[in-house]
Amino acid sequence: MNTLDEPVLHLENVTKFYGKRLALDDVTLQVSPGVTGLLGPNGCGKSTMIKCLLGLLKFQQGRARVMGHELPQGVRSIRDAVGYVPEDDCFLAGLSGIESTCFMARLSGLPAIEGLRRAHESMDYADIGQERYRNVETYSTGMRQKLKFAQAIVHDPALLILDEPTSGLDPAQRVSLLKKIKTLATHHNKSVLICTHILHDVSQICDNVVIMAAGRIKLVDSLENLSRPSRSGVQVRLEQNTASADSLDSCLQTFMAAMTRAGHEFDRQSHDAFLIHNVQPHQADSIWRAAADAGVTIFQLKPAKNSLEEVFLSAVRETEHAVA
Amino acid sequence: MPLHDVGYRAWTGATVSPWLRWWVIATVGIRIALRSTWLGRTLILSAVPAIGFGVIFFVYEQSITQPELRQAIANMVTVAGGTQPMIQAAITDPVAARHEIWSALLLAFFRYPQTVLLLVVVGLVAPRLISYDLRNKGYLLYFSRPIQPWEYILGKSVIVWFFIAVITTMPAILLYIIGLSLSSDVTVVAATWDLPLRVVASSFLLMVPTTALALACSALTIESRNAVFAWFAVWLVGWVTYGVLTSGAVIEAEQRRHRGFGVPQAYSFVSRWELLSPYHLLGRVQQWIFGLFPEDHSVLPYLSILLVTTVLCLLFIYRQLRARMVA
Repeated sequence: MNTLDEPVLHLENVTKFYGKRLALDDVTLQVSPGVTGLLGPNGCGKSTMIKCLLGLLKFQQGRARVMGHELPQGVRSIRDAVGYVPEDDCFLAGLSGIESTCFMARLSGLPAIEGLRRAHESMDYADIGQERYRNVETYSTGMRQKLKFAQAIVHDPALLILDEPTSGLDPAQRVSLLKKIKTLATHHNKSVLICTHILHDVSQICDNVVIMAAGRIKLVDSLENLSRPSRSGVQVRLEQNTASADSLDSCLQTFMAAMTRAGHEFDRQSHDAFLIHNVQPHQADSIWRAAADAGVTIFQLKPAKNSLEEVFLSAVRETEHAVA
Repeated sequence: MPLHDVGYRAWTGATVSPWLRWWVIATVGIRIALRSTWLGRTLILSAVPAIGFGVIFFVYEQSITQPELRQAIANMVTVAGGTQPMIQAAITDPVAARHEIWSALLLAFFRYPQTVLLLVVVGLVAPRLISYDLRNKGYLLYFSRPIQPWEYILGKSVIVWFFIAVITTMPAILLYIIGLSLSSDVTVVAATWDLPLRVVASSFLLMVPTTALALACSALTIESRNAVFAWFAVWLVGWVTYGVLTSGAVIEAEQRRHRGFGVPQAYSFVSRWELLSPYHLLGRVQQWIFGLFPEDHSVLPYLSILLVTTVLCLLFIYRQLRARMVA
């Protein structure tokens, strides 16, 4: 079992079939308070898991608990405690933004006047200005995304489940929304499960990461642990020495030959970047020498770290190999 | 840029009862529907027949003290589909026939102008209620809240019920009150006290199956225009089928009436083909509610068909909503 502490979500051997197709395969997971990123390739079961957690879909086997409420008996309490931003472009036709948000507040049980006041507050927080009085059918994709966020927080839920919350937003809006999500978690004690394909977003705001593939949980860990170097090594980035008459390509070939001669194992990460294994930064004399001999300059040398992308790809590849 | 921004604020108020969320869906839905200009016009138009029937009630009550008006009443009751004995009673003893005549008039009000208007009003309101939510994936917003499918369906149904009540129940009750207030005879209350209850029961039987059918049409498709087509097609096809299958028998009955065999009575011609036509089916059940159903026939098949149709429509809507969750 993958364990983090004090779970807001707890799934135990949850299995879900669509007809004969297995969508969730014996999923066991605990998610602790804080911001958790849920990653996985398309069709791996992320949205199915979220819909199961909200009681929108029934699972055939296993148990699930959200904010201490057992499914399916506690589905009303769960939906009271959860704010959900669906991945899909969804809206209620015929209503303005403010009416739509107020309506959502009232569906969550807020009295009419309170619902309207709260709708204005959450739309202010989501940076929706005078557009809130326009019909939602006239909204752009980004505006609808912000509207969904405003609707998700209107009833002040303890847990936010955000499915691709930044899709359709321009870079400035994306940064702003991520900041707001982080603020909700750090200053207002909200737990957040953010499901996204944008690994950069996860690395910006998440405390924990869950990676799914083929309906299974492949990895659960804190972002801090995942970012630690898996083994000693350095990353170097090179550029051509202005004094060298050779082309960069031929200089890099010379550099690689020198590294091999010096007995270093390395991976070429990009055209001009290398990951050199089993060497500490203070033991990098031979690397400097190889670079000087090859006519290239080291403009960056740093301890190697796992990138989230590498962790993600490695987890997904493992599954693909297992399936094959 | 704001000069002062307090940022996010928590909310700690008390929530309203969790079992009244369908009411929120209903009230918001009614508000959205009322924005339609065409619906507003149709609702105003629906008051016109009530005025006409109000005049008939007035003339009937006057005929009790002014016998010269009784022939006019007999003609009006004939037009409203009254039977021969009923017409005779209206001429000879209008006080004794009051309950039956008022029932016949209220039934005619329900069955002819208001049912046609009902088709139009429901056709304007209901088709978009679910199809829009399916098209715009609004169901995800509803069902991520503490709402169960039955509350969603109930909320949407109440929207349609409200408009049906506006064009049928309210004017019918108003007609009854007009009848009471125009009568010079105080015994009218004792003689007709049950009619408002029959109006409510009749409205209920009109509302529930028609709303279920209209919402099923709406849940059938993401295009509301297709739902409109399906709604009108169901009524039209049923009506035409009934008309074709019973045309021979109706012609024969009319001929007998003209020959003076005394078989007239639009109400007493009963055909099993009525079960195919929603319009005739509902009319027959309303006739039973107003106590005008032919005694030698059973209303049970009619009620059974309505019940089965309603249950099937509701199950279909539920299934459509569940199916969308998986998509």
